[in-house]
Amino acid sequence: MELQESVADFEANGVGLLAISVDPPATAAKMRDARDLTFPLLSDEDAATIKAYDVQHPLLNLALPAVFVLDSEGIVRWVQVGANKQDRAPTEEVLAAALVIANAGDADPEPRAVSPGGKAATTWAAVKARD
Amino acid sequence: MASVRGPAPVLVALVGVALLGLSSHSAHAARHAAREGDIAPAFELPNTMKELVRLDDYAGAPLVLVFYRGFF
Repeated sequence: MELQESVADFEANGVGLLAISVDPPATAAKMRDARDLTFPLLSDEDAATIKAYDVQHPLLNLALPAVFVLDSEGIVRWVQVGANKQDRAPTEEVLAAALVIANAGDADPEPRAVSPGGKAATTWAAVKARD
Repeated sequence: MASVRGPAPVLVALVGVALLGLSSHSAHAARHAAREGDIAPAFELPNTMKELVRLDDYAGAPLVLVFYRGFF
């Protein structure tokens, strides 16, 4: 499943989505159009950000396929780095991780009962129903 | 000679396998510089409209940050 197919799920849960590659903006625009992408594609032409996250290809000036899920404080909470194009985290896994992090961020610091049929449970059911 | 030559290829093969295992393992581990629990490195990069987008623009909500190989 492509990330684009889950854009609505990310949005519904208040999770932002950004993509980064070494492609210049014009090339990124071609990719956006070719794949009907609606999330922002950012250009890291000198790979400085790619290197800062340490996801550069060992030989080429490219990013490895990688996903980072950050919480609302900007802390990395989930990481998946693939060795090659085929080795990318399934979108279902990314979505599941993002939902856990999104809902953890919403949690009241005071202990309280979790009401059944809440937002998280509904969303989880929707995610699981897809499999 | 036979007693020396006999085990040598086996040893070489074993060391080779061990090295392969080690290198793939350490390569994998080394790729996790931005680890869980780290503050995500800040950035300011242009989008397809050449407008600068900063990581800080997304503060206050969870964010999925995807790295692509690029468009071929």
